[in-house]
Amino acid sequence: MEIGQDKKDALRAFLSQLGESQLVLLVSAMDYARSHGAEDIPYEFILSVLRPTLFRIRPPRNGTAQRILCNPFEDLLIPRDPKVKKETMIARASLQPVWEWLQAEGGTAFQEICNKCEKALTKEDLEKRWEAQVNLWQAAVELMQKALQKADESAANANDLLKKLGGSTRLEDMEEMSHVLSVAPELETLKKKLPVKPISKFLDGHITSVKNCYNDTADSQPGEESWIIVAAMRRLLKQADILKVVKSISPDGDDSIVAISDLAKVGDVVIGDLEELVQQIDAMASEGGTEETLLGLIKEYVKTFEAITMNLNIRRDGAWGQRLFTTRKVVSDALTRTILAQAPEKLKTALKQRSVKAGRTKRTISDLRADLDPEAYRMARSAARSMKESLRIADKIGMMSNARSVANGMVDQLEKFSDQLLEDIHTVPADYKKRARDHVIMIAHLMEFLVDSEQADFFLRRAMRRIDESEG
Amino acid sequence: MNSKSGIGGSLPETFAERGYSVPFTTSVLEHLRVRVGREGGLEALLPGLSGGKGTYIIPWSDLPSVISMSLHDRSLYKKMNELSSHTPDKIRQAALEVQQDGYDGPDVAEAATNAIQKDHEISLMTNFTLVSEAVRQVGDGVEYTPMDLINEENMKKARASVKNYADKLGMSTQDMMDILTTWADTSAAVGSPGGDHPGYLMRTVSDLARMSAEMSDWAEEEMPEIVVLVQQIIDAAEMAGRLAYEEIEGMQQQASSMSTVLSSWNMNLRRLQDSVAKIASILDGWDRVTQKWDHVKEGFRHQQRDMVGEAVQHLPLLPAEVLNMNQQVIWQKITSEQNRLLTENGAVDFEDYDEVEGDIEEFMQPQSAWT
Repeated sequence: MEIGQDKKDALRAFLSQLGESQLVLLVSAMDYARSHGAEDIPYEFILSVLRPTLFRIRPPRNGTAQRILCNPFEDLLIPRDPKVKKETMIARASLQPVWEWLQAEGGTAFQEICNKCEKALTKEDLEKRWEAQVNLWQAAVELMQKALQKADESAANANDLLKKLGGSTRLEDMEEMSHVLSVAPELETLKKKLPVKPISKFLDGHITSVKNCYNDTADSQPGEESWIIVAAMRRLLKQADILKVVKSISPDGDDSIVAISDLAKVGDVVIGDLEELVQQIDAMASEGGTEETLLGLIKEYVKTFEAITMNLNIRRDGAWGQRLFTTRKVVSDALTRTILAQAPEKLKTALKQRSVKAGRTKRTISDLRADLDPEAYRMARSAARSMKESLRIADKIGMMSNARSVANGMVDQLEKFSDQLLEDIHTVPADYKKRARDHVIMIAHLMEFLVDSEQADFFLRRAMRRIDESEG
Repeated sequence: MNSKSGIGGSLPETFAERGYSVPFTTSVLEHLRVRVGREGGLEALLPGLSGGKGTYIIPWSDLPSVISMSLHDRSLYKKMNELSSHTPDKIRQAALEVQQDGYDGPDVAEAATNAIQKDHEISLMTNFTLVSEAVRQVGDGVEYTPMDLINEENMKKARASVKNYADKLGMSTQDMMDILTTWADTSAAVGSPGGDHPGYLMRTVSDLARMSAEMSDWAEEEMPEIVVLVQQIIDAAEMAGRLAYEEIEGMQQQASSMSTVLSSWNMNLRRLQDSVAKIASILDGWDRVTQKWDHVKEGFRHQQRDMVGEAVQHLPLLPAEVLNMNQQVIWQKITSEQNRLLTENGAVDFEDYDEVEGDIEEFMQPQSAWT
């Protein structure tokens, strides 16, 4: 239903003033009205206005048992439908086949549990609602685990299940659903203690909540507790932050111990993501991507690498250690061949000099015969800026000494040129003053990247004063 | 008047109280706004520093001692000190001049030169459009296109055709032409009536609509949590664009009743100036958001998500003076959402910035930024 802008503003303002309990009632009434065919309500507009609040308060949405079933593993859902199953990621495309299978397999008994759940959700009694949801999750887990166990017993059973679900990815997704659903009550309680996702700052209090939940689940559902960590990880903006929880659970943080524990899948996922990022970096370095984009990716890499090494005691000879150090080598190589190896030459191209006769000898002076070459300036600027960024991250990838040496060479080059330029602008003809100023600004601008803005400002003021006072 | 304040849910009363954005390049100053403080001196408003949830108010004169600014910002800071007033238009002009000198590199210098050139062209085309309107409405009725008036002969004929009307108003033809030139210069930021030659403000309105549409498409493949953030940006952008466009429409309609405007020019000039200032204030800060989107939109998803996450925390606020009650409620909701995000996820870390040199903590006092 379409409504005018004034009405939209009025409606938006009205909705903004509703309390959380009123919103729960409104959403529930809208779900009811919609499922009963009411057409004169602007559902989409109202939901778009309410969405930020709904994400926070998460009112139980009426109507579908399927929605309740999916809540525990919603964070693992991915929009893509990969041909090869990715661990801890469930394709959205698997939801409907698994749901239909559950209904067929569970028959009337499962249907009754679904109906009870939907009915309970229309009532105010929060305890009964919770009980109904837990029943639904448990019923689904039992059906899934029974079928999976049966499939393990014979190839014929496995083929039968594969056929019913529609392929191996669906089957593997269902297996992960069953793991998460088996810890669903603990997980749903934990979610209420965490901020709205994506969580950009994973604070101490959040870490403690996840750790406590993990420990409680280890008692109530031994063997399934790692799924608490996996689900929590998927709510983080930077998934590697989950290793803070791993560290708090295993204070020694020895990677070889973690790698053989139930937490191995967490480390595998984080390191796997890092390896994917490194593949992108390597490809970009080979295909000539821009320095800015490449450095952006390398910075992402460094953040994740740091999160891993800060939270796990990575041993170089361990499996994770070897994978990590391989990534570091690829990244260092990419930085070397794209930035460190090329930056000095790019800078030099912008610092134009020429030789002039001085008596019997020759000396080098700044070449101010032409206006600035914008392309050379552009490349020099990009090189200087990239060097500045590279120095910030070099020590994190074992490149500090290399990067420092290249940067020092560039600073040296720039300082020699700026000293010469100061000498050469003692006498600037009036017509050339603008050109001289342009050259000075370029040098100062490059200097602020390679040295600092204080020194650049000092040079700039000295040089400008010299040009202004120049009699030409 | 140094302070740190909570911003959640509260709106500034006026644009002057909210302050105007300054296109500094030093990263810590990216979201800085400038305003005149209670005691008449300029103040810099810095949001989200030091992991805090508020706005830090630093006397303008103290800014260089606290932050190590880039050469571009030092030059712009100096130019800002020379301005008699600090409106968005004057700040933009000052920034373009600094950029044109090359203080932010060759690409920005080229863009600034083009922008200055474009401003000039728009002013000229707006003038031609107004002259052709004058001929049509109060002259001999000949239909000139603005391009026709580039030809000097046609311009002479156009001038001659409005002579009688100028006489009637008791002014010379030259006086009338001067009025049309002033009118064009004043409204060039918006562009020519009819929109054939859009000024930078009109282009910002178009950019907002384009960005909203692109973000909306982009968000289709995003997680619901990101969609929520995108929706907030789109809502805010659409409201700013709509309010600006309403004012632009009102302003451009004046060109369709030339005789009314010309017969009481001084009053109408003030109205034009007020309208342009209001539009510039409504759109102030949005060009940076659209530029950032343009910068990342062809990049990687994580860069786009970062951009969205940052933009939503720094959406240019609209003050109560341009909002009706319903719109105020909506904006209060947006600001309280921003505050909630900062509370739950923490704000920008002070330690992330190398440029902070002085003890910024000494500039904090618990008081509202807007009062």
